[in-house]
Amino acid sequence: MTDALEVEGLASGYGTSQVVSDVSFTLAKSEVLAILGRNGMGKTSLLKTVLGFLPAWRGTIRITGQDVTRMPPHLKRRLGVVYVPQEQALFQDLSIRDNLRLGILSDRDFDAALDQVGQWFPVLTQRLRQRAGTLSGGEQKMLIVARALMARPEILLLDEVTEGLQPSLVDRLSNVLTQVRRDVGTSMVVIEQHLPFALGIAGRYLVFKRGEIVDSAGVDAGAATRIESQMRI
Amino acid sequence: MPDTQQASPAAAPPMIGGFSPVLSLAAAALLMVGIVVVAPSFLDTYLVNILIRAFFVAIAAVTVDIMWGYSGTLTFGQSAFFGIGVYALAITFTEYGFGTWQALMALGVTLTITAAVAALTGWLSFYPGSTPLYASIVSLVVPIVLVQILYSGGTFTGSSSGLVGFESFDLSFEDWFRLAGLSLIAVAVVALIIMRSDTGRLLTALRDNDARCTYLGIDTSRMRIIVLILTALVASLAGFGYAAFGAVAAPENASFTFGTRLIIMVALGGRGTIIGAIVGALSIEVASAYLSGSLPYVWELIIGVALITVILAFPDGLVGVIRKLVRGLHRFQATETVRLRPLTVSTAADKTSEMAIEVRELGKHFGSLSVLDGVQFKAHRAELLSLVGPNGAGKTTLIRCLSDGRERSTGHVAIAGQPIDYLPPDRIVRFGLGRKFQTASVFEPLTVAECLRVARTHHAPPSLTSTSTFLDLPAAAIAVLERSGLGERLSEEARNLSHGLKQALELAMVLALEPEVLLLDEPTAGLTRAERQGFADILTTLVSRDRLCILLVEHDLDFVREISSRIIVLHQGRIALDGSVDEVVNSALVREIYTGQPSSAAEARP
Amino acid sequence: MLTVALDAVTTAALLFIISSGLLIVFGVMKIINFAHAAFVTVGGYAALVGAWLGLPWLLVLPLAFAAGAVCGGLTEAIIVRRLYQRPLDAILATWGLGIVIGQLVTLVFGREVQFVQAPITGTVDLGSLDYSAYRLVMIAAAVVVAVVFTGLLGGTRLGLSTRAVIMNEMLAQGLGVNSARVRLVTFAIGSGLAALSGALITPLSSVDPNMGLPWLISAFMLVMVSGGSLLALAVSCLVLGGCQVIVSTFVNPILGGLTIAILAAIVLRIRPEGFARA
Repeated sequence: MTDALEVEGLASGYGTSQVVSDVSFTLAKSEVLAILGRNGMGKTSLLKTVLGFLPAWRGTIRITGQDVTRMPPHLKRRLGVVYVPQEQALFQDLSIRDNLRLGILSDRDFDAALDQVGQWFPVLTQRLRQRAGTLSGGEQKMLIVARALMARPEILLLDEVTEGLQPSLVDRLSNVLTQVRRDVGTSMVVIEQHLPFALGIAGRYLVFKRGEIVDSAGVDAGAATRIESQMRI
Repeated sequence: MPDTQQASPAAAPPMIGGFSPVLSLAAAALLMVGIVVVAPSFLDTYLVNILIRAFFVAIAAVTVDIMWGYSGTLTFGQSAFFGIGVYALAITFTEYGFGTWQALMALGVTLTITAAVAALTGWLSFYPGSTPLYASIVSLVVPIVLVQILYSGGTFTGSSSGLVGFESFDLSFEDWFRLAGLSLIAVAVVALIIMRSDTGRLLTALRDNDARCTYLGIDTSRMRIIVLILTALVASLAGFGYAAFGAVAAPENASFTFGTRLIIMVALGGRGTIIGAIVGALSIEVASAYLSGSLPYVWELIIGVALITVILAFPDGLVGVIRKLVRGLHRFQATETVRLRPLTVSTAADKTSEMAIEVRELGKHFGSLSVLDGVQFKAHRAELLSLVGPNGAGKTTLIRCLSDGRERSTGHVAIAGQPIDYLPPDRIVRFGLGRKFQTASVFEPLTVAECLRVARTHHAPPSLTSTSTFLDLPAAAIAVLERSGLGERLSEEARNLSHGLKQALELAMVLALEPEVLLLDEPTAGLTRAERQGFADILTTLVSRDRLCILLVEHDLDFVREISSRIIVLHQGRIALDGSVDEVVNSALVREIYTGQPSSAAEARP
Repeated sequence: MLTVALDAVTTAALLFIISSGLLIVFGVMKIINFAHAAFVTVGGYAALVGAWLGLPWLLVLPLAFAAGAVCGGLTEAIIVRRLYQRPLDAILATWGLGIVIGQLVTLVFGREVQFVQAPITGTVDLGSLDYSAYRLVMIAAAVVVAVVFTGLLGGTRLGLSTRAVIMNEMLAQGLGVNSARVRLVTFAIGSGLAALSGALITPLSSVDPNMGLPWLISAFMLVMVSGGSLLALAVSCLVLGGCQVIVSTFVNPILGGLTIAILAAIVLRIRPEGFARA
């Protein structure tokens, strides 16, 4: 079966500065891949390149076999690629309802999707009219994830989604993501600094350093220790 | 944000036939003078008449080019200053008749009112935080206001009909032609000399990267206001001459329409070249005179279409197109070589404060959102302090609060022993602060040597007439240049440098300030391993030999561990830990912050 | 006294209709369209043509809007789209377009001032005075525009997409919004509004190839002062428009014409971001 996402020899950067160098990896259907590495190593730039926000200097990107290297970001969304950015992931001045509406492509499917959101994070559906900017940090994260999952994505790209979350919420997130993966078959790429969370849901991981992949393996018992030593301060 | 696609005014004046730029300019000027002196005998009177007016308009167009093409302010208002010259003369001669003292009075009035209006316009347009768009808006409003004042002036200003019939200077057409023509040549020569000198390059730097100039200790607002006043004065004198010749004053001479006309002339002729402004002005004035009679609306239509086409397809105008063609044929373009010279005596004022950075109770809030809270630390000379922390911890905000007195919400900051109060960055830089940005902020259209020259502006004001052959730099800056190889590439345009070299150039520029305190924001982002190592060596030398205090924001913790004497960990706007390298590296709290491993001392996060 | 107050409100209404189009364009694209005045003129002449053809007023208005929208769409696609990185050059290019449109209009219609009959003539008896009925219609029109606008922005999918693009274009694209299409539609609607206001103005004054220009500067300054918020724009129109009328009536009509520009320039100097967040 074709891979959900296939990246080959990808390179990109800002101006004259290269931040992604010759990156290749695949993401199978329903697989969860964790991309690990310290700040500033280029992980976010990698995602931005895959999505098309940063033009690729070299390499190809394929989604279920289709070459999408030059496809603009908004069309990739129509292929079912949903992106949860690390920063500025919400419209602070829009209501919860309007933020959620933007999660799906057509208002027709909204009510059904809203029910699902109510099951995952009831607090959101209770306060639909509230401005997103007035929510607490944790509630904002819930909104972001709900919006992403509403669309029953084919491929979900999460960038540091657990940042700033308290442990109980991280657990809930883990459960919701696992549930969706089971029900919908979503493939996921998870960029994380929070190792337990990442290793809890991922089947494979990559370690990213200075724009390159320096390690790639399956998640097993020894993974945590191996990765820790690579990321140690 | 400056318009990103504007080509630079020539980095090097062209050599014609192998002669030096100065000789070429002199030769061209002499040729023009000859033509101007001789021409009236060969041209018919109507054309002479048109050209005289056109020469004065061209002078105004040159001032527009200096403001827009070189300094980056799209100004519609130079026509207002032209109009002030026109009306000062017309009103004086109408009210008081014609004579020597009246002429002198008119001249004095012109210059005084122009200077006052220009100063007011400048104060309104240029201030820390103003945008080029806002400056354009203000420049729009000035001629509109002026014209309305003229309309409401009754017989004093002639209202909508203007003033006619006043007696003026009695010169023959030929003599007017020579006078106007020579004035234009004089203005052009002076403008070209200045724009090609270090001062002109400074204006280009201002246009390209205002923030970088501010952080080099340059008061950019004041500089822009001065340029506005000077160009306004020249434009007003052009208006004075225009009215002196024509003996007519009309509100159109001061109008917004005329102001846009001047811009169109510069855009079509080629902005940022001086010659382009003159070519554009003369062509359009002459063509208008001949064509607007026979094809009134079609001529205007052609101008409109030409403007759109030029902006879309040929932003450098006619002169730009010609220059590209010529460069295609004539590839060789030597420039005078610049030589580095180490400063023997420090030109920085003698500051011996041991306390490099002092921060007390620093806070930065946006409403109820707190980005920094209760930040407190001290740093001494000869100390290399690294600031680390996860994304969103507030590191860049902290750097901003240290370098700009208006940024913080609460607290006290002192740099090199001086409190920064609410001072803008250019003042703080003069206390001895250097800030290097995350994004290799240099001046793209300038050469490496010119960038460094601009960096020395605060210590050594630039020449108005020439470019310096020698570049006096402190040893630290020269070391960076030699180490990175930039010492061999002084004549290369900054935009062609690799990312690593731009970072090195920016560092050299900041070191040229002879700072005591250096703020570096993620300086190794995008550098190769070799470049990072070189950087580390440079920083350690700066601390040990030159006794700088360096505050470094970094993600690369290996780099940090190697060179720091102290690390401050910032987390969610607060200092989580401030200690030696060993303390921080082995701290459980820090590990938790970075890897999310829960430890027994984990605090609940909201 | 009542006359002055009514004049102030009707002037504010007119300013609002003209500026709202410019506001939407600036909000989405951060570009100032200097051809906005020319689109006002296009609307005025569309009304003229409509009157010649004997069309009912209710047909003329949408016709004018459509004419403006088409011009706007073409402008965005051909000119503005290439100049997003060069906002100052966009001002110049659209100014050039304004010249072109003005000249074309002159070539076709001649440069004399022409008049259009107001669809509603006569006055309304308001107790202490009789006030022009058509001017009162202005107020109604402005309210309709504001309501329709807010409804469109708030209620429709396109409105939501537009608001998203205004706030954070990259995030909107990631969520599937075709921001290029949003810009095109926005520019078209903004230009359509300009033309609509031109058609509405003509019965009050006249039609000539430069009729849009005086409004451009005021509209422009009002948009800057409002900082991107429709509500702030409405308030600015009332306040500054009111000042204009007061100065025109009690001091000097010429100075009155300047009031908005001068007051706005000073306000912006003190508070550069305008009043959106006040």
